Amino acid sequence: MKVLRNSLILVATVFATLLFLEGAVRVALRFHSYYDVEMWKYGTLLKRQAGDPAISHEHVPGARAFLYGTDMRINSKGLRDREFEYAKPTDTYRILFLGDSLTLGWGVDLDKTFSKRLEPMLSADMGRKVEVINTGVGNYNTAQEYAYFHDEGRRYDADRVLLLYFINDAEPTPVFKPTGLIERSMLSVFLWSRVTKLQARLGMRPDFRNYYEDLYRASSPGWLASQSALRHLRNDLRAMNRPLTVFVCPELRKMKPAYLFPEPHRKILSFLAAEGIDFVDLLPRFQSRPEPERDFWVSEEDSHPNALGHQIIAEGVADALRTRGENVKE
Amino acid sequence: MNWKHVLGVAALLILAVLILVVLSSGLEQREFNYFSR
Repeated sequence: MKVLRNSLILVATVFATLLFLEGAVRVALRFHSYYDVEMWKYGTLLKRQAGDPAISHEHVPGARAFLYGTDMRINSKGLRDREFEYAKPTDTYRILFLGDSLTLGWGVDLDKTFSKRLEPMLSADMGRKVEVINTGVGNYNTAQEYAYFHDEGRRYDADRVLLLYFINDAEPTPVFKPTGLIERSMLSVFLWSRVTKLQARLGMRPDFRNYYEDLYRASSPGWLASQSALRHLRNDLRAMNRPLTVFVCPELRKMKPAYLFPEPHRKILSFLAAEGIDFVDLLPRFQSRPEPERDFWVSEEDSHPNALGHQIIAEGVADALRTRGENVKE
Repeated sequence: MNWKHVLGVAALLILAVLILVVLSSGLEQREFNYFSR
């Protein structure tokens, strides 16, 4: 009887302490944004399972949350952008931008994202109204971006499609799991994150470099899927007589004097060139800037592009489209 | 178990979390964001 009583007290003590820690983490992280927890909130508050398993997850239409210092509002069609009708207004040149959390503008106000910066820049260039629709969703890979375009994006009847390619776009499509009890706990997310970091420190997880090198092995399923998606996108747009340009954005953590991931980067560019897909390498543009890499990051722990990073990307896109003027002004 | 044991268990759990936080600080691994879905 005494053993049973002690066991119950022990379980109650552990439970009460975990409850206390859950509260402590929630209070502490109200005053300090923590990347993994903010991403978890993004996944729980703004995403849902998509009907098409190839897309896996999508934004919840009309959802809104304050994440990593920015107001994230999702429109009625699941985009982090203002409302757009599928039917294109007359006298408007419409661009559809495909991408992941970089295109979404993670950690950046909507008006500072490259999609929104491009609208006035291109409108001034072209002397007509230009819409740049931001279809970025966090954690999308190229296969998901293509699936989104195939199912939904093509309905916008864009004059041109642009895709921002990032080095992690060759990751396999994640399986969206319904949120369980443990995944509702901020403490569990926080502890998982710290254990992961500790494992990395102890050499029990691959470091960045090995991780990305592995992603781009010839037989890596994610990279193969990414290549297949890019071919499909190119073929679909050719059939629709719409131009496609892929912008390859570097991982911003270490670019100077030499890029940290030269081999994956070379493989991406080689593939695009071999497949006849129009592309622009944004790495030289970042490398030529006088600022240190840190100036382009959202925060010390998160190297997503900040407002300056988005500005550099927008300038790169605008310059590239200027050199493709005959297409833009068609 | 008396109240001292209860406090001891709670303190140990909190201490374990604090040690984990200290040992894992100063590392960036933003790509391994499995919870971000």
